[in-house]
Amino acid sequence: VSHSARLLLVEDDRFLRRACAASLRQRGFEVVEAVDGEEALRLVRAERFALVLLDMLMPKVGGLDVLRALRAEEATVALPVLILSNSSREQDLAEARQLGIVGYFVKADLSLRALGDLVAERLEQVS
Amino acid sequence: MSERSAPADVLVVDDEPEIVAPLVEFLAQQGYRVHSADSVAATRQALDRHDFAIVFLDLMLGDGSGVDVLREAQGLADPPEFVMVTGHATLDSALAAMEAGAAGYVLKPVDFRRLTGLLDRVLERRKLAAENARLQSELTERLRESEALLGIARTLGETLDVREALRRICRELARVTGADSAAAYLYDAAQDLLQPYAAYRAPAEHLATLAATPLPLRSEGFFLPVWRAQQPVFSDDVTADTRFHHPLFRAIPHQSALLLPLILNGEVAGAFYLVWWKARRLFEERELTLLENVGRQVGILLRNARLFDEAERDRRRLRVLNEVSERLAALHDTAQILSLIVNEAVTLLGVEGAGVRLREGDELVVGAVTESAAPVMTRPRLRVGESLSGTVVATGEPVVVEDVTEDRRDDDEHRRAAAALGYHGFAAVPLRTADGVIGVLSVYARARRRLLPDEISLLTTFADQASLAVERSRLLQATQAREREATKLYTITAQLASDFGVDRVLDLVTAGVLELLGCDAASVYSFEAGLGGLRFRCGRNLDPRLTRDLVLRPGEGVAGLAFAERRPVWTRDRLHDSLTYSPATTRLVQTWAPRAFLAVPIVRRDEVFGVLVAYFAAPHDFTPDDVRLLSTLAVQGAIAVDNSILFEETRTQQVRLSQIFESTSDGIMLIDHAGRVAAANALAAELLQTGVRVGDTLQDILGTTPVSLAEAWPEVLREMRALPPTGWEGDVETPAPAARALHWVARPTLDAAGTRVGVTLTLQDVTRDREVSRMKSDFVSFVTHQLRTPLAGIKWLLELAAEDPSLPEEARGYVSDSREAAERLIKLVNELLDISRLESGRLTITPVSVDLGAMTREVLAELAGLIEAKGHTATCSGTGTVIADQQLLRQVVVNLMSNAVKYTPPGGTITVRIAPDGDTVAWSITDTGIGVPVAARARLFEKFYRADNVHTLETEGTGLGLYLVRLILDQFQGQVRYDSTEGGGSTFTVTLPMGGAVA
Repeated sequence: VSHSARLLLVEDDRFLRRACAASLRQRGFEVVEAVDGEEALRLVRAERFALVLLDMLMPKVGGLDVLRALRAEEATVALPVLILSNSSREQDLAEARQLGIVGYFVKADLSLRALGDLVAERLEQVS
Repeated sequence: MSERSAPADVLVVDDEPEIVAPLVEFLAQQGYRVHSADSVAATRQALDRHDFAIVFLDLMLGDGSGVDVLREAQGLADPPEFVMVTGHATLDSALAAMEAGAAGYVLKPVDFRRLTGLLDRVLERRKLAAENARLQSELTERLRESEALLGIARTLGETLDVREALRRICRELARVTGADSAAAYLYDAAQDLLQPYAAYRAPAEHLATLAATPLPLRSEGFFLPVWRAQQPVFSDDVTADTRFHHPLFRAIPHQSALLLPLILNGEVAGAFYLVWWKARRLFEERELTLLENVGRQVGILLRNARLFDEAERDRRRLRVLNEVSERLAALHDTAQILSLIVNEAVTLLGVEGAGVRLREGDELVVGAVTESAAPVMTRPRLRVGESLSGTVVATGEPVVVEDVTEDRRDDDEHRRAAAALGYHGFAAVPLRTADGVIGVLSVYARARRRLLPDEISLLTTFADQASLAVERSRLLQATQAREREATKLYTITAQLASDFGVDRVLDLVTAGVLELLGCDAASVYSFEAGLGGLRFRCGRNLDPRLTRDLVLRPGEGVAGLAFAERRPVWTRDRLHDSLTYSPATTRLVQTWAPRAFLAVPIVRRDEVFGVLVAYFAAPHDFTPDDVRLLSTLAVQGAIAVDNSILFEETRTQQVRLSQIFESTSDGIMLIDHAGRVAAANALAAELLQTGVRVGDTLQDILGTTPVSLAEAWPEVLREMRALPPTGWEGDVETPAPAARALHWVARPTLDAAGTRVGVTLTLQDVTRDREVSRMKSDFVSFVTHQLRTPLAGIKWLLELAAEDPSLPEEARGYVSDSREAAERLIKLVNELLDISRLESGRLTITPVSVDLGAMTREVLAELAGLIEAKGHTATCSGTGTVIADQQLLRQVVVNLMSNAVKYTPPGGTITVRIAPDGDTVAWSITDTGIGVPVAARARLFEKFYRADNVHTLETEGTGLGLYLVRLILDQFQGQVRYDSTEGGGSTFTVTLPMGGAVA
């Protein structure tokens, strides 16, 4: 299976970032890591990604702000975003869905295997 | 013709039929009964048979001359009028006819117009002649009578002295009839005799007989038609006439006599006896009629004379009575009235002395007495029925005594006193009013005589007037007394109403007692349950040192008895009654010595609050008025006490309510049905950021408040009467800078009777609550995130570790256990999060139709690994759709199924059945597990509860699973129940509303 697609992983927690990136790379994806929203936006504007894995609660610029910014710019208005959050605030979820996302998952409820399957599945859908 | 009612007969005499026929026809048309004749002979016959008014007569008839017939007819008693009818009028024949008495003549052929005029003249003449004749005869008759009556009338007109009048009438009668002597008698009803009153020319030898002997009219056979027929009786031979057989008539030898009755008011009131000593005298009918008229005339004159007499006397008495009456009317004092009455009675009746006794209960008390009667009316009190005066009052009948000194009915003292003063004649009449006999008026006369009926009648009239005056004076006094009382009572009541201290009220009541009853002292005792008796509360004119510690036992003394028996109690004189007094009262009495007490209970709300007592220093007869007054004061006092207590309570309550109203954390406005503010607290105005005054309309307030309630509240106002009991509510934000969140509730306001009187609007500042709520929500979110993040890290890193092929076998086991522990922790956090959301109601629930069978099978598949690991056999049968939130329902199914897997020892059987049950679907899971111990049943669905026996299986659990199941099912009308025996497996059944087809 070829997983050469470029993914942007936006995650402020270093343990999660490390585990997630490692697992996805093992699955053959190219993973670019961002530690917060600010960096994520900079990267998105600079490079091209097939999918963004976006955390919600982050310092400086939160996940929702990033999503809003993405949807506000023509270049990224259709960029697939998969929300990975440990927060499950309903209003956040509702807004995120309205802005356009390909999925919203609670990290603690998700195994890395399941995450890999999800990413592969979503990429297939959007391609 | 018009004046005649009956048709007159007329006769037409002519031998020429052509003359007769039109005349007959004309006269018949004029309304006459017409006869006709054609000869002298026929005319004579007709005149014999009928009385004709008019005869139309032909002068020349076949068998003779009409003038002859005319002449003959003049000899008739009532000759007709003749109208001569002639063909050839000659002066001679006409003159002859007129001379013979004809009324007129007509020429043939008859000119009917002329005839009409003639007829009228003839008839008028005939009528006048008849009238004249009648008047002539009447006049002659009247003249005769008038002459006789004039003589008598003149006689009577000259005097009203009956005796003199009768004497003169005797003279006139003798003159008219030519009698030798005459005598007049008047009827004496008492003795049923005709008493001699006057005589005219009675011979000296018969004077005693004729002028002095009563005539026994109806007795001894002397029963003449005089009596019954009221007609004169006469005889021209008295000695031979059996009707005059009475010795009286024999005693005076006379030839002729006439007895003429004297009629008065249709009855024989007397008679005249006319005597002819020698002459034989007979009377014609006409003469008798005249005499009868004279008799009647005399009767009238006699009556006038009597009436005049009576009137004269009555006028005199009336004048006196009127004077007395006027003077009585000016008097209002009973004593003065009585004094006037006794003095006037003496004057009016010409007696020596008079006195009045008035009734007081069963006794008669001297009310007034003339100085002259004072020594005889010595006893101040008589019993009703005692002595003569007492008898009058008892029977209501006057008593008349000829000589009181010899009357056995009278008491000795009275008789001796009367004898000493030389009083003999006595009369007493009752003083009557509508209510009965109120007293007696007595008079004393020196003369030994019975007072005449007239005098008694006068005395009675006098007594009646006196009674009226006394009654009026008493009424006036009573009215004045009541008026004074009412004024005082009003003053006291007004004072009581304006005073609200209990002790002040009672003090006013005692002051009122002194004023209204005129007693010497007054007090109030109030009942104190703790003391078991009445304690002196307050008083007037009582030494406080004596009363301060006084406690009266119920039933003891006047006050105690009034209290115990709830009725007024009094004693006229405490030294002479049979009541029991406490030693304390006795001490009080010895020091101050009031003699008469009157006590009435003060009843407040059907409980005897205390006793009100009035004291008199001297023995006192309490009247019903006294009792009534004191009772009224007690009632007023009770009301005032009640009012003052109520006032206190109300004031306290009001202050308390007002404090609560103002210190509550909510803004409150009471709006009446007119949409106006009935009450509002300060906070309401503060929250609405506008002025809120009682009387403002809600519209006014909505117009000035910056808070946007204009959508919700007008609706509340409109639906005020239809508002559900739970009311309406809503939230609103106040504008910046205050920026507060307000929660408002509108609920119906009910009065004490439960009737809606408006709406209560409550405003709650929920700004802080909202903040707290948001903070709590944020906190849960934050904590969840903070817990989940490291847990997810552990989980993922362990997953990576587990997948490392280089991991030693032993370490792989540790990693596996660590992963399981991490999963448990994550599950716990998730469950806590769910519970937090469900409990706070912040979870968005989306009920949809859910295919419960498919969901169960999915979960079963997910759990397949676990089931297999424990060697269970699990099956699912049936299907059904329900209304629920997909996500949450799944949690229920997972929790119940994983419980079954967990709490069933290895190799167990788990059966899930889904079946419709009415309008619900029953989902049940049966296991062969450890079951629920009896002790755990009540608490099985509690948070963090785990049954004791779960440890036997070394299973992990949070104690949140079943709690969550129940919490979720509550969200969409689901229920859960179970049936289990410890060690014998369990069946958990969930019922949910049936859903429609799943899309």
